[in-house]
Amino acid sequence: MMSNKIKYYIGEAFKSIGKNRITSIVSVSTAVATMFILGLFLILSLNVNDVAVQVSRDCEIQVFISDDCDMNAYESIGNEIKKIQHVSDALMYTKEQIFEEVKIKLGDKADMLVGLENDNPYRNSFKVNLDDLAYVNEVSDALAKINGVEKVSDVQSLANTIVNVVNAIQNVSLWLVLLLCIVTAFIVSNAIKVSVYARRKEINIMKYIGATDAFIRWPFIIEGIIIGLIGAIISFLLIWTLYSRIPAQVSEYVTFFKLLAFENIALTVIGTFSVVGIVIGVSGSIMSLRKHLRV
Amino acid sequence: MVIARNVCKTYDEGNKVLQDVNFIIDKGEFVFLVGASGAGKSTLIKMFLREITPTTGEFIVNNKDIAKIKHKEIPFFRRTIGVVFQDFRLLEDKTVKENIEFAMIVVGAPKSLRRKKIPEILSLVGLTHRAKAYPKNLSGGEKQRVAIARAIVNNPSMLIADEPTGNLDPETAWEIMHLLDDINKKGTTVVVATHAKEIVDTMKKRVIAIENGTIVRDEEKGVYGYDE
Repeated sequence: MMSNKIKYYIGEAFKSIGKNRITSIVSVSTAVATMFILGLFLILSLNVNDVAVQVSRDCEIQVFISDDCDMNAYESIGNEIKKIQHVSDALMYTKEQIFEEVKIKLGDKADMLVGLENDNPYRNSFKVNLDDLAYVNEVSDALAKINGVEKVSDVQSLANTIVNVVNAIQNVSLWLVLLLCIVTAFIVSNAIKVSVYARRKEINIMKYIGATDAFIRWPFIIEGIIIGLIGAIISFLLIWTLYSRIPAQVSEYVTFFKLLAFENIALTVIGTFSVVGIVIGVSGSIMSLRKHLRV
Repeated sequence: MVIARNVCKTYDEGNKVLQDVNFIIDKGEFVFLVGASGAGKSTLIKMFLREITPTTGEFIVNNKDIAKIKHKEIPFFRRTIGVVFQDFRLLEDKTVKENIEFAMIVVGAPKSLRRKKIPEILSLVGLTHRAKAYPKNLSGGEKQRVAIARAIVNNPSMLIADEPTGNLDPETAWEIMHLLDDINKKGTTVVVATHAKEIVDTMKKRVIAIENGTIVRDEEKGVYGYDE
C-alpha cells in the first residue's frame, strides 16, 4: 500500500512539472543561479579556510628565554609552554642552532661572526605553533607570564588580520547564502503555487473524498525536491566545469598558496547543493500549500 | 445516522444562517432537503461534510459530534460520507475509470481491491462501456453518474447530493434520481438537497423544508411545497 502511494506521489510530481513546464524551468533556472553563486562562495570559503590553515601552520610565535636559565630550566619552560591551551607544538631553538643558521645564511660574509663563537649574541628560544590562530593574543599573554621568558615575538597583528579576513569572508558568504536560499525558496514556492492553483479543483475534490493533508502535500513536496535537485545537479556541473579550469591558471600567478583540487571539495559542494536544493524545495512547497488545505 | 439538536450557525459578519435546527435522520433513510436559495440548505450540507461546525447546538453524524472532530481526523470522517455536487467536479485529465479509481487511491485502497471494485461500480452506474472516456466527451447525465460512482466506491454509509440534477434535463434528472434510489435501497442513507419539484412530489420520500435558516416542515412521504 505504501509503495502504491509513493508511486502515486512521484508520478503526480512529474506530471505536474510536465504540465507547468514554463514555471518549472523558471524555478530550476533560479535554483541554478542561486546555487551557482552559493557554490562560488562555498569554494571561496573552503579555499580561504585552507589558506588560513596553511598560514596558521607557518605562523609561529618565537619565545626568547633569558640567559640566566640553564638547560634544565630551558627544558621545563618548554614543558610549560606545551601545557598552554591551543599550543600545538613548541620546538626548542637553541642559540647555537641560531648561530649556525645565521652563519649559513651569511655565506661569504660569515667572517663577520668570527670571534663571536664563545660570546654568542643570540638567545635560546622556542618556536611555538598554534592549533587556532584566533587564540594568538591569549597564547602570547600566557607565554609572556612564564618565568624565564624574556620576550615574545609580535605576530599578533598579522594573525589578527588573517583571522579577521577569514571571519569576514565566511560571514559574508553565510549571510549571502542564507539570503539567496530564502529568495530561491520564495521563487520555488511561486512555481509550486502555480501548480497548486492549476490543481486546486483536484485538491478540493481530494479533501471531500477524505484525503489526508499529507497525501495532498507529498506530490507538491516531491515536485519541490525534484526542482531543487535538478537545480543542484546543473549548478554542480557548472561549478565543476568552471573550477577545474581555474587552479592551473591561478597557480601560474599565485605561488604562496595552492587552490584546493576539485576532487577534494566535490563531495562538500554536491552535498551542500543537495541539502540546500531539498530544503528550498520542501520549504517552498509547504509555504504555498497551507491556504489550500483549509477546507 | 444524523442528529441535529438545536443547531444554530452564525457567520463572523453576524449573519444568522441556521436557527434552532432539529432533526434525526436514521440509517438507510432517503431524505430530500428543500427550500429556496439562501434558505440554509448549503450550510447544512457543509455541516454534513464537517466543512463548518455549528455556532451552538450539536450536529452528530455517524455517532461523531462534528464540532469535536480534530482537524487530522476530518479525512477519516469524510471517508464515511460520499458527496455529489451539481457541477460534478470531475478531473478533466482523468478517464471515467481513473476518476473513480482516484477516490480509492486517496483512501489507500490496494490495487487488487481497485481492480475488483471499479468494474462493479461502473456496472452499477451503467458506465462500463464509457470507462475509458474523458469527462469532456460525456453527457451531463454520464458525468453525474461518474460523480456518484466516485462518491460510493469506498462504501460510505451516507451519500450527500447537493443539487445533483440542477444541470440536467428532466429525463436525465430522473435517471440520476432512480440511481440514487437504487443506492439507497442497498442500505446507504441518502440526503438530497434539491429544487426539483416534480421529482420530490413524485418520489414520495421524507422531505425536510427549510426557510430562513429554520425547519418549517419535516414530513414522511412529503412534497416539495413551493411554486417553482
